[in-house]
Amino acid sequence: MPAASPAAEAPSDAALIAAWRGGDEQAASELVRRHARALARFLAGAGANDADLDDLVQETFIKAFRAIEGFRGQCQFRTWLFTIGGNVVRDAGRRAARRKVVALSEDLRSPEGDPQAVAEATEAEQRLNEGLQRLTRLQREVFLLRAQQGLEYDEIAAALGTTGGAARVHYHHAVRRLKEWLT
Amino acid sequence: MNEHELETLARGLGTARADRVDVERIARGVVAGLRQAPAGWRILWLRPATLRIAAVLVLLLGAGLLWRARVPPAAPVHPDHYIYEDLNGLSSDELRDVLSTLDQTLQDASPLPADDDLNDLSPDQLRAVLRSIEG
Repeated sequence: MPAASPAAEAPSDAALIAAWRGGDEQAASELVRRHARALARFLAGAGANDADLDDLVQETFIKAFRAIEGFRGQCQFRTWLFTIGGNVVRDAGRRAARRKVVALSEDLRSPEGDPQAVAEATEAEQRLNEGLQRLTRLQREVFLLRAQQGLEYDEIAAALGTTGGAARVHYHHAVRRLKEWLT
Repeated sequence: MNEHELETLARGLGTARADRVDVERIARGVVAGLRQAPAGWRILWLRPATLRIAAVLVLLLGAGLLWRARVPPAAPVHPDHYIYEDLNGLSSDELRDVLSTLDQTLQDASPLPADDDLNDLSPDQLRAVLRSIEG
């Protein structure tokens, strides 16, 4: 009997999605394990409040699985997840603004309030976080998908429903504005 | 800061925080959340657009019922069927009985034969008389 191939040991995202559609909860759990940290990084860059990050990651996955019929493989599952995560962060910001417990702009721009996070975040990273919140949403998401997640422009464009050229323009605008902010 | 330094900084953004994410707890929470609410209907009904559409439909339905209650249905211009359609199965005597109930009307209607003359008519002729009455 030939040795099991690596592909057989680690099912693809598409296989796990198909299994989840068939009612396999373990497939959903495996997708969470596979993508949760990358999603958390993206949400942190997109402005998620540090204290809410775990909840926002969870909410993003639940929304994604419920809307899984809308995922037609136009991009990678992880990239599609990021776009849903962007909406979740935006909605969380609106909820926070309505509650008016903490002003959104202050709450989402930096990890203030969590001493551990403050200690970990370098000054430059904090400044970058602040600069990202000054970009338009599209500029921010394109920048994060490109610079933080290392995606190609075509993949970014497919996920955000734009063209590769437009994604490139958004990226360069973002870089220019961030450099101005950080200098 | 140049572009390369910016990208290097961006690559590490959020890494420390993401490392503290409790992935197993999130996985359990996701499965529990998916079990809780039946996808589809509950979400659909919570959408403001769905609620607005439902409210409009209820209003239209109510207005329709109110309109029907206030405005009586118009009587049909023509009856659904004609009398002569019921006459095919009648014998000569039965047809004469029917005609006798219409006697006065028949006489007023002028060109029709008098009662006595009806006795001489065949069933087909009697049916023809009734059809002419019905117009």
